[in-house]
Amino acid sequence: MTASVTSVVAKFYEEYSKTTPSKLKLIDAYLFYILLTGIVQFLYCCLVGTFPFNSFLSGFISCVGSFVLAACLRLQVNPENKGQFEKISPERAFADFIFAHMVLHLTVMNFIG
Amino acid sequence: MRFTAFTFNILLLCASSLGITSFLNSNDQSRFKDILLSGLNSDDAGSLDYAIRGLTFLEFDIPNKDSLCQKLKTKLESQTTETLFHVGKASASLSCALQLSNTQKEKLETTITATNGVSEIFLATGALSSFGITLDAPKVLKALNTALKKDDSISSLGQAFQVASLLDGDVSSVFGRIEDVVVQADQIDGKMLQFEGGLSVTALVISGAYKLANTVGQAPFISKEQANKFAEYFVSRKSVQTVKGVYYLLEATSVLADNAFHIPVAITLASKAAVSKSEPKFQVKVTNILGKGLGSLTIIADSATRTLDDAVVLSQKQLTPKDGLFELDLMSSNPGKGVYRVALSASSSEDTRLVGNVGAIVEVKVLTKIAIEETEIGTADSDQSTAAKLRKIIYPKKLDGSLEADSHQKLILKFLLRDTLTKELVTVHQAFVRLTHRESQQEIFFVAEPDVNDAYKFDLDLATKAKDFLYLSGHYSMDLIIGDAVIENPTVWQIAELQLSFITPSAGQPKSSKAAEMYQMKPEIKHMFREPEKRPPGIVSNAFTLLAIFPFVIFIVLVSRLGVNFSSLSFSLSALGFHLSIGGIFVLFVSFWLYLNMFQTLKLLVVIAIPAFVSGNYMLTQIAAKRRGATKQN
Repeated sequence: MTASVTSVVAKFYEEYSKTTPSKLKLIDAYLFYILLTGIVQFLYCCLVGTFPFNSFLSGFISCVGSFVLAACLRLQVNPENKGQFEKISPERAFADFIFAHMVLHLTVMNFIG
Repeated sequence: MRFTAFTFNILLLCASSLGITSFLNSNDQSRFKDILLSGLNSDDAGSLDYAIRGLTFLEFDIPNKDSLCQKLKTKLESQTTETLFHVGKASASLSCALQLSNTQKEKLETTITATNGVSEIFLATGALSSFGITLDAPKVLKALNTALKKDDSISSLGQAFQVASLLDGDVSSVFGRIEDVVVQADQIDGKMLQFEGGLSVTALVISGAYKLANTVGQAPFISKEQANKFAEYFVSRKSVQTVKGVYYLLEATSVLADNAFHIPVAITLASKAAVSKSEPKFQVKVTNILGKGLGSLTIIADSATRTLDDAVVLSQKQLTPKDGLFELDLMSSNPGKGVYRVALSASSSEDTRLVGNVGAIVEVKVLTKIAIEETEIGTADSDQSTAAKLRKIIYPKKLDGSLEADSHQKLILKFLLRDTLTKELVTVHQAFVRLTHRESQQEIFFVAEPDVNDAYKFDLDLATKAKDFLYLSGHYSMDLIIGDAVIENPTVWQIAELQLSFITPSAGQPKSSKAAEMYQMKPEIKHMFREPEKRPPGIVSNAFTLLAIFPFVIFIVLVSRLGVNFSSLSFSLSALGFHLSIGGIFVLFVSFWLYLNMFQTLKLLVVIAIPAFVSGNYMLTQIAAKRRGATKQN
């Protein structure tokens, strides 16, 4: 059972390294980083309670928001999805990403207290 | 409309006719006089007029007539009809002999038109007539009737009655409207009638109606009950405080005290409300609404009914006149004790105008003396092993010596209460036994209950009631308290001295009385500020801060492993500008967190965002062009 799981994981990893363009791998690394940060924040909250609840919320929502925006960027930039995003060039996607981030961080900074 | 009014009045006649319950006595009249005198100091024509005419009603000699006349004279050239009205009425009342100039006279006469409304017609005609100028009756009447068609509210009709009462000739068109108005009166508590608008409107209508009736020579379409109820309303308003209010009240009550048709009668109790064997008579006063006598009258007590059981103790007994009042010896009919409602009727051989003179109710109490008989006091064992030892006491003596009792005994008191008039045993509202501890003055009350034969017995089981005594043993004095609404001699009788001993349930001192405990100082309450929330220790939060930043390091490592294409990083102006602007926004957000507020941040954000947008746009189009060129090549 475990053998098949490990072999599936290994195969997946190989496939992934070969077929994904490096731009997407960059975004994936970014996504992974955001995920780790979010998990650390959540662990902290579980451990010591929600004392400045607004700060916890703003930090956690920042992580979640960035993750979502990066995932959207990855979708829009992926050449395999070009058929669905004909009107939106990768550069336009990136500009949207930056703009959405500005708004997200403004809100987060306001709420962090 | 007439039919419903007719049936309404028939129904009212069937109801009993009760008189008014009080009248304007000398206290009220002197209070009115003071209020009106203060009105004489005013400069307003209306207040002056009301004060002067009010004082005339009270037949009071008005001081400083000349200065008042001078004040009124200065207002003769006023432009408003209302001021001229008040000046005219006041000067006529004071007999100032003021004259209206011809221009003013013509102005007033031209005001009497239907278009100006009933109020203006009322004020103009009142002013003209008070200056002694004759009115053109047909013209006034025509204008009045036309104006009433447009506005026949209650106050307009009241004013119309007042106007019509000044006119000669046929005013039956206005006279007939009295009935329309009276139907609109509101009844309060089944006892009073008033018009919507309160005292001034009601007074205006009623005095107008009766004045008009006097002029026409016919009784107004107001029934006796209604006249009574209006009178009752006026009497209830005797606490009015304003000059205008006092004037209107006096005008209305003067009309009701002296007109040709209805004089409401006030039959009121004029002596103490209680009669007893030593004071068997009570007196009533029969007057009109202003407290004046009504000529020779015969007063008959139709019945006296006891409220408790509706027993009637007398009927058709005439009261004897004495010093302007009428008195009746109630005790001669041998009534028992109780509260009685005496129905009185006043009739006059000459005067047929009296209303409300039949069936007036006056409440009188008959008191009796109570005798306390066959009093016995003693102790007995609680378990009833021995018979009670009782000693007799005669009121008002006290028991010789002191009675001893302890926790396994009962204290017994027996007595009888007898009505000295009827010689029967009675029960009273209050039959209490009070025990007072000599040293601490601690008191305790018990109730003595009568049995089925009306014999009172008080039975105190010391063991069960020891808690109420707070286990306080010692010397007690015992009092018997008898009280009731209809006895002449409520009594507190010191019966005996007692020596009571209680066993406290726990060893030690008996508790201090609850009352003493209640008034001791209570423990102080200290205010506790809201405790701050628990924070984790610094080490934990610092560790987690580092832990949260750590993934960034991982990111850098991954990116370097992937291999970033640094060569295609162009240092064009737009790219530089874009990166700098983004960096600036980042710095702005950090400073927003640290010390800026939202408004400043937004302003600065707009300033930085514009170059960011422009440079970013330019840079991205360049990259896009490069990419398309590359893919085209491929």
